[in-house]
Amino acid sequence: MATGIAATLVYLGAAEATATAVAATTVAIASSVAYGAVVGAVVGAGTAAIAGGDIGKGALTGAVIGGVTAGIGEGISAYAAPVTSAAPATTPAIEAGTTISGSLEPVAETGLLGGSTNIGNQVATSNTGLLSSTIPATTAADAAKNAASSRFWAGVGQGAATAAGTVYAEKMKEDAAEEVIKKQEEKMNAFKGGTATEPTNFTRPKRWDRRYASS
Amino acid sequence: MNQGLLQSKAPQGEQFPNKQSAGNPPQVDPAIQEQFDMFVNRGLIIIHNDKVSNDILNKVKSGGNIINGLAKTLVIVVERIESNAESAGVKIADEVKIAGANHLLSEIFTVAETAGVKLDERQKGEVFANAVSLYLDRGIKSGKITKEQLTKMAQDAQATPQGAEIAKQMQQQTQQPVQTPVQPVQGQPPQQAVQGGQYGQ
Repeated sequence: MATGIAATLVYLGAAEATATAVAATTVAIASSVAYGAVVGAVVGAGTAAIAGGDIGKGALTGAVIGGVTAGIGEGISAYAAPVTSAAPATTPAIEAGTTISGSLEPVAETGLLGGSTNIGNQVATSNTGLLSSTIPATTAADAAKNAASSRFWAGVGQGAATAAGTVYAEKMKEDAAEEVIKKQEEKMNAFKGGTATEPTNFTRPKRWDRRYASS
Repeated sequence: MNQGLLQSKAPQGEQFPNKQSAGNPPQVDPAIQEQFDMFVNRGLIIIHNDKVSNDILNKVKSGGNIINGLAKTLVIVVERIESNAESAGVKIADEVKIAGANHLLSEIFTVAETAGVKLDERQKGEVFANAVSLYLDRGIKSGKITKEQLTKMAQDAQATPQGAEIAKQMQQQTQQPVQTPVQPVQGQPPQQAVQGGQYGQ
């Protein structure tokens, strides 16, 4: 399993792996029902396959029966739902007509929203705090974590906005967050790799200069 | 799905914890929990991607079959996660897939409910059942699952008490084919129910 998990970390990206707590989620149906549906679907599909019938139909029949059969079981999920302290308690809603503010406006002006010039006046978000200006500039991993969270909640807002007939500036937020990540990674990689130049305000000790100046 | 999952898990109540004992809170292998976290997080990102979330809302708005539409959405999300994982040589544990899909489906329901559709528990069960059957069907058609593998899985499943019971009920219901609801109306639950009883919770 360790190998698998290690590979999974690669697959998800080390940065994203730190963002294991994007949002609190709950199960859609009782876990026992879900498992029953899976067992039933396998039984039904296999039966149909042997009989030369419609596998999809057989699977569905079995899944339904399996779910019903398991319906008397317990419905407690063993998995701890991923949670995040950064996630709002409720789904952020988008209200049309609210003026966008702060650092979003310059991004909109660059045309990242497909040239919708008035989009800034139509879009609002309750998640402006996730934009680049407030993402903790600690490590690349932390920035990535915030970016993942940003993308998630931006998506939630986007869905709500679409339903309300408004437009959401998810791309703006995403680009802003990714820009922070990029800068952080560049900074870290540069110093790790030994390619970083000295800070411009760094000066050699005068004693060192005098020593070589006299030679 | 692999046969290992069906063989190793006793089909009663909560099936997914690896270290559950009666009277104690269910516990999951930390490594599995970690993979589960990543599965769900990746799924959340996909679900709340512009295209996917819009697709969910469009399915709701279009007046098509909501049950099937949401089921298909879940399958697509899971398949995409799997595809990405396989590209990196990662095999996602079946128990993670099942439990993770259940969590992701909850999120899909949230998006759908945002658009005004409220599903009851039975209908939610129908969505999951549709998704599982669709997943298997697509797996067979794509060659990801061979008929031989499926047959073996089914035999293993039937060897369990729950699988045997399901097989028995399927035989009894041979004359009563399952009907899926086909009349989704935005803001209104489908009127047809899946035959065979109600899902419990």
